[in-house]
Amino acid sequence: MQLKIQNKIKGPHIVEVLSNIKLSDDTRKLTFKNKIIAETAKPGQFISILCEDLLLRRPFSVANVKDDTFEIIYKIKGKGTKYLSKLQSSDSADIIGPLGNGFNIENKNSLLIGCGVGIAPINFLSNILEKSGINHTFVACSQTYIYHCKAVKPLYKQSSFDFLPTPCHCEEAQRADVAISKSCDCFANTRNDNHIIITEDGSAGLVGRLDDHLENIINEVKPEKIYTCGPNPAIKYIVQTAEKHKIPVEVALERDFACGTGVCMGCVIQIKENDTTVNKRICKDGPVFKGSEVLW
Amino acid sequence: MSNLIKPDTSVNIGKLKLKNPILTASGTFGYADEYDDFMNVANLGAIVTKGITLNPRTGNPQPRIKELKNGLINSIGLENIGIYNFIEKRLPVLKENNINFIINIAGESIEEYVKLAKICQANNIDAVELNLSCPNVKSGCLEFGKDEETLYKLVSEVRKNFNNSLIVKLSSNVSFPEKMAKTAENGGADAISAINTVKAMNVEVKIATSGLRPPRNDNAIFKYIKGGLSGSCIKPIALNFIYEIRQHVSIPIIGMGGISCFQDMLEFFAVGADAIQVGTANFTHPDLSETLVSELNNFMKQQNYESLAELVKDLRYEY
Repeated sequence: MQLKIQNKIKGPHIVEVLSNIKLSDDTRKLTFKNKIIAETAKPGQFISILCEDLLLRRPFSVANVKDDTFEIIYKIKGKGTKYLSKLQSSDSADIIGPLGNGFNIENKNSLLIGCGVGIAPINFLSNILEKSGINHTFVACSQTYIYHCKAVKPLYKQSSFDFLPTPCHCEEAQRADVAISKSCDCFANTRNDNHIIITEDGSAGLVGRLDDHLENIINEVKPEKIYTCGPNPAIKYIVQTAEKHKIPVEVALERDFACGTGVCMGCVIQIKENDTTVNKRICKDGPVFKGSEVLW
Repeated sequence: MSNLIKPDTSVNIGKLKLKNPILTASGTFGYADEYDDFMNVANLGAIVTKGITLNPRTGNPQPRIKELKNGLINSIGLENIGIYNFIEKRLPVLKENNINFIINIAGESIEEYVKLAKICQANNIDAVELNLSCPNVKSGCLEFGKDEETLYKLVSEVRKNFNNSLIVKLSSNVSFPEKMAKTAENGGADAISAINTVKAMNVEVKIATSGLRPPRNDNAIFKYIKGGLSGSCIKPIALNFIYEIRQHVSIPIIGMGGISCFQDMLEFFAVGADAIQVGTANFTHPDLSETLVSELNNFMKQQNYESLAELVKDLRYEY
């Protein structure tokens, strides 16, 4: 194997912060400017950010790319995300990536399920499927409504789902204090395909948790493939439900990484492979795995 | 000296001539190709492979890592592909790309180390680093690095079966560093590398809202990890260890433990190191080792040093 010997193709890149906007009380979207990452990132891949006063970088799924910019979605939780929350436009950040392997996109009627900040890679995937003309339904599940990137207005047409009005959380809409702002970009960018929002607190879309609705959604959408990202219990539930319906699932997993590049062996997970169990590195061999292969 | 002349940064470790003194530590650099995206790995003095055992190992269960303020505890448990897979799959990549490398080997018995050494000899490997002190393996290979008699036996047996550069990696978890270093030298080591990670534990105690009384198991949630501590918090331990052994051995010392910048590297030279390894910092700054190579070159040009030996001599603390 001849190595590439192309210095620094995955960084560290010093990138410019373009914006850092509020998606919910504790969730934010950061937009960075970097051509290489924007042009090479695939849905499911992640970048890793150097955070002030922390020994290790923090990994985040790429949530979207547009021209020479890319986005991440994060929840303010610990020191790393607190640091991110303070970044402002024209600040810079030290980023490596894109890292790991993305989703394997197939031309099949797909169901995309993002839970919590797991919405990030699913949002990116939805945009790519949209561009490729692949039929899909995007389910965004969260405790409270996360206004994610472009998708705002629930367009799910099935009358069996009773939607609440969906507020737009983009800055423009917030200034105008409107539920759905017809003037904001988000509205103009509303997708044409099905998009389902589920919130536990009923702040938008369907009320309840994923397990209250997943069976119904699967029966209505009849997906041939499911892609998902979110907390392990949610993903595990999705994989089990999909298995019942004999639908293949691809999951994007997360865990604390030390290196994010596949050298430290800190993030390994057990995977079924040809009747045996093998260790796979979430950061390098994943983060996308076949749901049926993951030993939870 | 003209700025156009490239300073001589080379350093000899036994028969092995390294183009510069900057190496990457075992377990922090994989088998090198993982870092291909971040640098030209062939620019480094050498990379030290992930610890390799005779048979593949699956390592320890999770949790394997815990980040602390200035350090990292790991409990990987020597997960690796085994020497035969390494020779078949990884060795050709290193050779084809002209990457200087040192194989870090770990055994559960002297016989196993000897077997590994023989395999390395048969494959014409230039240098081997003996991992005597992985604190995360229950079989207790740490013992090899703790007791002088066993250490002597191990090093001399490996020496008999391996003709190229033999580096012995020492742990700081010993009472008399200088005795261990001297023993390794007497056993036939060409160089010492130090320090390995330091035995450590992290505990998280969360007290239930109801308090600790009456005592119940779930009053206090107790989470812990035991493993090897690395990162800048162990730098003072490493500097002291190297300082202590320098006056007792004449073979080269490869220093490591918390190196994360050029200044750190100079500190290791000052206390007695002839070369250095970058470890945990690779995780955060994957290009750091290559940056150190260019910083060293620039510094030597600026300060008019023709050779690394001169620079090290001027830095070296006189006993």
